[in-house]
Amino acid sequence: MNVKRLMVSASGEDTFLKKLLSNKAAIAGLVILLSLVVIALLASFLSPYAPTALVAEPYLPPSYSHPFGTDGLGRDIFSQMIHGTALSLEIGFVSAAGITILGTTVGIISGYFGSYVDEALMRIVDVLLVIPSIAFMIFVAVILGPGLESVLIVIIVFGWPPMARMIRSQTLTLREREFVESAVVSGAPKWYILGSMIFPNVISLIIANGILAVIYGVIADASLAFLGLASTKNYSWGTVLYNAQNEGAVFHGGIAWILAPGIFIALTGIAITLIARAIDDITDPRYSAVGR
Amino acid sequence: MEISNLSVKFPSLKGEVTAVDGISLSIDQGKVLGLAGESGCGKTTTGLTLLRMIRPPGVVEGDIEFAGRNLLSLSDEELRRFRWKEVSMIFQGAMNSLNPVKMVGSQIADSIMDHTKKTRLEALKMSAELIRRVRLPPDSIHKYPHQLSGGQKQRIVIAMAIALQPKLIIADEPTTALDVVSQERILDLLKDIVSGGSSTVLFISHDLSVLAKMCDTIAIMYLGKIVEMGSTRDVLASPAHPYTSALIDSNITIESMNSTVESIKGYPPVPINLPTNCRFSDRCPFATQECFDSEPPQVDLKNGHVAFCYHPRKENGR
Amino acid sequence: MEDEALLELRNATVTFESRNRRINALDNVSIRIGREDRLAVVGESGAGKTTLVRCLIGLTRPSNGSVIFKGRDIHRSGRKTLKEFRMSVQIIFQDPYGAMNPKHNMLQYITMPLKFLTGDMTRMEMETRAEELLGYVGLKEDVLWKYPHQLSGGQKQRVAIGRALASDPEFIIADEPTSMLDASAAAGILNLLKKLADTRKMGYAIVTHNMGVAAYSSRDIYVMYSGKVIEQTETAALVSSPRHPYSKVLLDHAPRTLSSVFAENSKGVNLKGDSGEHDPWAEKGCRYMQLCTRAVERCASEFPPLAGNESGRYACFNPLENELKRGQ
Ligand SMILES: Nc1ncnc2c1ncn2[C@@H]1O[C@H](COP(=O)(O)OP(=O)(O)O)[C@@H](O)[C@H]1O
Ligand SMILES: Nc1ncnc2c1ncn2[C@@H]1O[C@H](COP(=O)(O)OP(=O)(O)O)[C@@H](O)[C@H]1O
Ligand SMILES: [Mg+2]
Ligand SMILES: [Mg+2]
Repeated sequence: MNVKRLMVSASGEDTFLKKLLSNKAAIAGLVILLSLVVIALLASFLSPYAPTALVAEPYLPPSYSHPFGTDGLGRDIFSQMIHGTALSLEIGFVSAAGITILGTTVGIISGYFGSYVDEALMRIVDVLLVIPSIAFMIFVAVILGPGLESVLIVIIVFGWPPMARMIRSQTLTLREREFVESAVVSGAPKWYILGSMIFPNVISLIIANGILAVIYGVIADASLAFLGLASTKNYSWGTVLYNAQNEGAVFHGGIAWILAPGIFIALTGIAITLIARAIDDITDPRYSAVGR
Repeated sequence: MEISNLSVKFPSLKGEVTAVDGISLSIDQGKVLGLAGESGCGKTTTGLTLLRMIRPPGVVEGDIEFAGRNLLSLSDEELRRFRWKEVSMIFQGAMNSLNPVKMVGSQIADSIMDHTKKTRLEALKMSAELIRRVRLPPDSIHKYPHQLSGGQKQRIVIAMAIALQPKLIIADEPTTALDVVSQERILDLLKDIVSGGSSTVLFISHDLSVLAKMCDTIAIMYLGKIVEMGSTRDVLASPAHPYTSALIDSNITIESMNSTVESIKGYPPVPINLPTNCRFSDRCPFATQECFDSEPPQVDLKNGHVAFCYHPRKENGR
Repeated sequence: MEDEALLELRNATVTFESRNRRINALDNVSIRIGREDRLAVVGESGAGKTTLVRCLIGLTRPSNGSVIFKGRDIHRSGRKTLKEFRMSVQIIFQDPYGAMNPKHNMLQYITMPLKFLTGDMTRMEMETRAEELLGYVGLKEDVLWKYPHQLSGGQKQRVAIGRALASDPEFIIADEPTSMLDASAAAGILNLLKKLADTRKMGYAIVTHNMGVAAYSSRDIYVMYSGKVIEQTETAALVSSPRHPYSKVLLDHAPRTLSSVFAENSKGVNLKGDSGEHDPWAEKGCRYMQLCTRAVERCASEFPPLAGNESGRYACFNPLENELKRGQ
């Protein structure tokens, strides 16, 4: 509710969407992101081959019919990438949602209430930050078995603590600010201070971090796949990378094979960073009017 | 330094903000020039322009001549050699933006190393010497900003500004955030710095009593324009422009105890799409039709004291 | 003899850990505020003025002593008292730039007390009331839709007063309301506070480092130094005849009219020592002793108590002479 109100009122004139659409960086980011979504949705139409079909010689270099070459069994890597987009984006967005919700809630509560609540939550954060994540990932993978759920759980569990830290420290400084105190002396209850004073002022941090968490999710999936901890039944960009490593792409001159996931991940990263920065600009009321 | 016809404009969604509007000023070697006016009149912008610190989309027009060179045509390389060595600035509010996690001594050293090729050791030695010059105890170099009072932090900022012995120092509201006692001490220090060397100072403040103590000449600024200029005594003791008189009258002093001090009605607007007329006309008690219609003429009084007004003091019945 | 005080601070002490030691930012201070008082609290920065204000308004709980509102200790009574207290005692913060949420417009800011204290108003009623409040502080309605960065410091400070007035308070405490403003805006704010006090039978306390501001706006005055009240009297009496040497120093530093600045040609004031080398909290005796030109032996060993009579108290073993008595 607050997000919405903020988005409408930040300008007083234009809606949030209108401003987003008049921002060049945001447009560029949205175009890239939408293209990826379209690729994900229309994968079966767009990909020249089925990802699992043996269509040519193994380890072919890039060519017109196979832009990224073929893998060790002669499957088309380009088609695998197209089919992997849906799963990669899904992992990216679901884990970002989880990280953001957990990180924000813990961060704000910890920062605002302080004392033993803060103490307890921050101990948990510390513990998660010092556990060697690879060891834990292997542990979870062994318990749950490789698969989408374990990938998401691992990514979220290790993804939220840094965000909680960041939100907490922002909340701590906000809590001391005079405008929060002016709400206190106006008789404002805690829910109002949290929702209307603290939250709107961390929201750009939340959005920026939440969006970056998408890239984190995509990359984390790739590294989990690389370690063989993701399910290889369905393709994601990560599994393509895993296969490249597993089947010795480097020995066979399959540079394009390794680069392909990198390119897609980088594209996602660029799109998301562009959008994050645009949102950051827009939610700042100073954007819309003449400053003093 | 010779400034002629200087304008600074910032594009904005609602139109162009003319922060500085064709001002001409000259500052004599070794003198202190005061720049006064309410907040929002363009004082800081003027100061930043002299250091070539207006960034795009801001647009600067006019001429600034400094020691025989035109500032506005300096190349990046020349600019790097010019800033801090020839002109430096005590930025408004800088004492509150010192790095909280760094000792102040090394912050002074950093600012020296930013502008010279000095080694860290040399720069640290210099900062120890500077600390002494701004009359702080020697162990202050090892302190963090939060361990210093406002007045002490302001001294650190001053130390940074005088580090490379610039010919011109721009001091933007150096005493405004301080209590009266620290204010006095900072003014004392600044006076000392001016009288000791060959430094010229542009002293920006909205506090006329501070300017009265510090400056040789004074320029009163309103909405990007200079409305009156002359020796401090001439301008402040016998003001010609109604704005200057109003500023003087709005000063609360210990002597105003049983009287009423009048503030100037309203606030200076943001200077967007202003017509060519007297900027002060809509707040001026003496304004007549011509003030609203066209730009006022320059009126020359004695000793280079000038005012831009249709109704300078001798006419407005004071 | 006097009627019940509106707000009272009894022997309040606030201790802070700082730089690995403890300081009493407020040291056994008692203040009694009547309904229509016009007070000034004066002292240089670090004197404990803001700490005092925060105690009076209930934002800081003193480690010792109590805050009494209409006979009730605000930290020991229930929600109802606290609400009544917030309605009748309001505050204006020092920094108008910091006291407003950058994401809220002035309508949201000024109606907070209406939402949470006075209660039960429709949106329309609140808006009308907000416009009325802006009228009291001399602003036009279009300000309601502006964000903090679109207003000047003086305008923001007026809106801040508007918020403080929203619950029809009996008393307003202003922490350095003019120190961030230029002279004209400052005069405007002080005139406004005086006018509001006249028309609404409201009292105020202005906290400032500037004796000129204190003299202009108050009837009674407290002078503070390093957490202690060192002189308390009628403002007129203090201005014409300060008894504590530090009060005199503050007076000497007050802004003068420009003509007297030119006349004096800035003769140096007797300031001993330079900033900060002196640490008042380290003293066993009078905290001002190191800087005092009139210190006597006794000052080194004990802190002079705040003594005197109804018309004035001061904490000094070797006070300045009473010019008023001598003149008679
Ligand atoms: N970067 C900027 N962009 C837009 N407007 C600006 C900028 N800097 C200053 N201004 C405007 O220029 C005017 C003068 O500002 P400033 O020089 O800071 O005044 P002063 O220092 O006298 O208070 C103000 O109205 C301000 O809003
Ligand atoms: N939250 C705090 N923690 C530690 N020390 C504090 C805190 N607040 C104030 N102080 C110290 O208490 C003293 C009085 O501060 P303050 O009441 O803000 O003074 P003033 O408002 O008169 O400038 C100062 O020395 C200050 O450093
Ligand atoms: Mg300025
Ligand atoms: Mg204070």
